[in-house]
Amino acid sequence: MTKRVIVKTDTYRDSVILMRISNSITEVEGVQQAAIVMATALNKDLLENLDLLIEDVVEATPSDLVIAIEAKDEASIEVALLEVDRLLTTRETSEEGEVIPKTLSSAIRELPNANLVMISVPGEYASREATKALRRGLNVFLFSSNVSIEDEVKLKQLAVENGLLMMGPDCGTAIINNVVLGFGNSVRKGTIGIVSAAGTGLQQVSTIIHDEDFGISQAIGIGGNDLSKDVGGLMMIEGIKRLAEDSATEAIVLISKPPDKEVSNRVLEAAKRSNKPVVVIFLGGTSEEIERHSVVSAATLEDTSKAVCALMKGKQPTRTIFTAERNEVVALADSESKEFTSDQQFIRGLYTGGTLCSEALVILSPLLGTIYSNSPLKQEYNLENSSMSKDHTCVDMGSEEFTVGRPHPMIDYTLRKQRIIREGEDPKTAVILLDVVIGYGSHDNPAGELIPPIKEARDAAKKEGRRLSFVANIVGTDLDHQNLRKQQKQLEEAGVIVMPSNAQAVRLAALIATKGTIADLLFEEDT
Amino acid sequence: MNDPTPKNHPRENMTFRDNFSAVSIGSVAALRMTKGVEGQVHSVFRRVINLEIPNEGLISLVGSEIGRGPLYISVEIPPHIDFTTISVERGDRVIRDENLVKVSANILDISLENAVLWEPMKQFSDIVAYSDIESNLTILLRLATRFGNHSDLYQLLKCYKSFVDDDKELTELNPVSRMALPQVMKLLDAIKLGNTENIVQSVMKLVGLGPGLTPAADDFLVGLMLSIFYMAENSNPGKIRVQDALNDIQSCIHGRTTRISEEFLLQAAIGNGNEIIQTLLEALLTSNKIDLEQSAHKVMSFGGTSGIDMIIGIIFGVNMMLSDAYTKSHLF
Amino acid sequence: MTDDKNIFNKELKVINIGIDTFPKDLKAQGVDVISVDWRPPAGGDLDMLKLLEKLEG
Repeated sequence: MTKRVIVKTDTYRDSVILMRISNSITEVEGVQQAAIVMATALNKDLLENLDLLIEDVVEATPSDLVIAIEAKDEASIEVALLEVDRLLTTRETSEEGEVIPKTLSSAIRELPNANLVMISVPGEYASREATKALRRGLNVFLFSSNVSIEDEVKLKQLAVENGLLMMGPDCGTAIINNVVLGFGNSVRKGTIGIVSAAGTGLQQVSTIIHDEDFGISQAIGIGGNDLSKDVGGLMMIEGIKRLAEDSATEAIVLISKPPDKEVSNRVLEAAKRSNKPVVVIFLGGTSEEIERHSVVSAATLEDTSKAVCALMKGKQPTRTIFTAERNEVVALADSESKEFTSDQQFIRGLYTGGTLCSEALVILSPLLGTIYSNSPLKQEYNLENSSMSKDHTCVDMGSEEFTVGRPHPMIDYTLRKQRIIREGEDPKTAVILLDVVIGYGSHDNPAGELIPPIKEARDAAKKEGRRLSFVANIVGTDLDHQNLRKQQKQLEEAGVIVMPSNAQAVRLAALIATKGTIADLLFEEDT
Repeated sequence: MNDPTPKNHPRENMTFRDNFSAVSIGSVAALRMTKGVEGQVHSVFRRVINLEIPNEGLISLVGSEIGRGPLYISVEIPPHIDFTTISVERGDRVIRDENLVKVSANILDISLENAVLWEPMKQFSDIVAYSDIESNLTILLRLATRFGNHSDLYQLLKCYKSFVDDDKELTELNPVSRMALPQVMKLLDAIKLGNTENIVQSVMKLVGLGPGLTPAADDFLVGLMLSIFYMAENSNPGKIRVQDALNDIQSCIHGRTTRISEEFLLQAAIGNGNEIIQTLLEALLTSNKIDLEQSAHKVMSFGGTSGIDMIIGIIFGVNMMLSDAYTKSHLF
Repeated sequence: MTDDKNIFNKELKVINIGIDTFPKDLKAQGVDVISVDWRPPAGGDLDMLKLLEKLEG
């Protein structure tokens, strides 16, 4: 521990600056404690109690400023002192006329016709803020997770009672009045409404609908727990109701993982009552229940999107296995897999979107058997260590164990880059499967992030006589700011096969990994 | 360093004189800065220049966004102006020539032509019942608890025993709160009992304590003094001898703290506070339509942590006066 | 449900509490948004949070 005490005679700085100096010094690494005080008699006592009193300070008067620092070494003290000098001489202004509200109430005073509050504070404070907003008659988009189910129920009940939308908790995506809230893609405005408990599910469906030349009227995110038994589908049912009443909405899509049976019933009843064409995907579930309610069911996000567009055109929904011809796909898979060693057999799916990862598991399981994951279809397929793949593995890298203390993998590619190289080193890896999500909330240049580790992994594998295959799907539209065409081109130039949907990317990966042996099964698949 | 002769030299690179209009002048500032009076610049900040008037005291030239106060000459200044950049320096000569305050000869002129006199209002109309004052105080306590955590004296609020576990030892206090707390408790008891010696002893252990150009404990005392003054003027339960207490506190201010803080303390001891504090007290004590939360937020955003410390002082002061009215204290 | 509360087809006016990338993206879409300078209540001090909870009922 080392100490430094400086006396600046006759030095007056206003309390805001003194506080800034104090805060900035204590943030310097290695600083144990700091005191920034005027040299009054009592402050000298204070310094003595802190063991920071020196001769110069004893002599100082109340018009002198004392800066006392205790740190682990000289270097830290020097850094701190540089900060002090900078702040003492800076002409930085604080708030210059612009009012920055500190509470919801004062924000509403500044923006009196506010109609939506976006909340992303830590979970333990989130329901408090959301409740305040709902009580003030504002709709809520609640990004925060780790909100209790009890609180979620209360919030949604309060919202429904007041005719408000309560999107979340744990809602990352919505499109309201053609404005993207949170993560999401720029899509044209149109006549298809979505209610979704799945963020990247909403993204994939909305972007494919856009590609099919249709548009989105409203896409309501409801958070991952809405269709659980306790929450009972409160917001999904409310969302269906709102879209049913919305004159701009002509068809409705519902996206979720399979709900509790009773909840499923109520949701499907509500869907039927809407008197509009409805397509439902309960990802990984069966279609009987859905079809019993005279509502269209789809098994993949792509099929869901194309089904609703077909209905809008008065056509029958069909299933897509691949958009390209069978022989084209088989030939492609062949060229990818022909240089595999006999050891290379596994798929490693590295996902940023949880729903996309789930869809991969749903599609791969009937084709390949056991697929390990950190969010597996069955508990027995749970990865012991999320950072270490086993056999066929699809990892959701947006899961909590990867995101504690760091940004989401859609924005920060660090962990995924490292993982690509690690998977490449495994002699059993055949195909690396990736989702590339663009749009709001995502990295500005995903291709730029992915290409270097892909090249590195390829080169390293090549040295050991292995060829790696990379398959990806870009979730986005031509309206997104990352420039989808350019992203696609760059990935393709780096040897990545870019498929038009996650489902197709997954199927192709399976075909490649099995060296074409599942072709018949694949092209006749039931789901 | 302590050269008493005022500087009065022309600035070489100056191209024009800055000329502004005062919109208001506080009653004490008006008394101190009469026509013909001369003084010196004491300190210069971005939007404030403090002037020392010999045999009178400090007054402040402040940007009008700071508000009005007994020592303030509030001046209409464009938002981008920063006084620290216009070559006004500590020690520069100041003179009031008719209705013009001339600072640093040829650098800065402030016209008092249209300045309206501002006097603190010490008596309010429509005072509410004690139970309503207590409700308002609880709101203020909630706001201080929610937003006040960057002040070193924030932890004094842990003294609300009825809300916190009684037997929890207050060992985790930061150094400033740890030094202040026993003195604050001693001071409040001494005020209640009229014990001059203890008032003086505890105040001598508070004035000058804490970070800030106006040390934290000083701001606390300003809030405390103004709140008991205003309660006594408007809603006095009768037993506490507020005027005596204020006299006692006043006697131990001089020389123990920064010049600027000393002035605020001396003014508070005679019931003179800035307009934002006056408005907050009015919101606490009356049914006049003043938004308590809004006025509290205004005070809390004042001067770093000064406003919060003043509010903590107000909370302790009003609570003490209320407990004087009731036989048992509800809050402490 | 009253029509004036229906947020569909009205201009969005948003208050943001939390992450600052959200208002940035909203502004890029031409939406009126104001951010609240949110701090954890009571600075995370547990005693004070307990007090705050009691005060807020």
